[in-house]
Amino acid sequence: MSLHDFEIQLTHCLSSDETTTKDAAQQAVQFTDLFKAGKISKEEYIELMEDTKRTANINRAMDDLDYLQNLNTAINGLVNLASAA
Amino acid sequence: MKILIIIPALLLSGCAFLNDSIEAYLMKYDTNEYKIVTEIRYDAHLYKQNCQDITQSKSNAIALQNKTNFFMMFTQHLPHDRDIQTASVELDKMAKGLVDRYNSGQPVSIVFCKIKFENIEQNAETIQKSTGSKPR
Repeated sequence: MSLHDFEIQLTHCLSSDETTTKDAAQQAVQFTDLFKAGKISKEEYIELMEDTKRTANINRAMDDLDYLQNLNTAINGLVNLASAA
Repeated sequence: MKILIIIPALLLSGCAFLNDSIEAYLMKYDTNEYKIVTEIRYDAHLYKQNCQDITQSKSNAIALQNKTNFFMMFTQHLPHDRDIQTASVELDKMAKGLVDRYNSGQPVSIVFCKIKFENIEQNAETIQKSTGSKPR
């Protein structure tokens, strides 16, 4: 795949409904632009792209935590309901 | 009566959901965890303003990675804390990436330095938000 193909793929990700994917694609585009403009070196570009993956992993973990928090609220609600019954 | 309502509801949804339910029911807010991640966010916020001074910035990057590493070790064996453990490992890798660049002997651009500290600051804030809303 060429650079152009990857850029087209990134453009598709930019219109994703999933926030984590969309944010990662936005960052990737920003870093690619900086690299193309010569503002960051190749090694720096690779490291920043790694950060994009790390950020996506953190966002996914925090989404899971939010889900657990909602579950916690639901379970406590059920316990309270059962206690009142 | 409690059991009559809760157990069938959990069993209906399978083992994965049961594990999640246990995790969700037992997880608790941890003051120290919140404090450490807030410090990481605050330090990264301050350090991104010193990227022009390479010597100072290298020291800042090392100091920040010491803190992200401490955060990772702090959460490592906390029970019912799997998501913060995952996030702390990623945050530490991010901070290590900047230290590695300074240690490589190659020039580190100001743009890169600022983005790295900003990435750490933003991700620390994401973790802070989630850890702060854990049940008391």
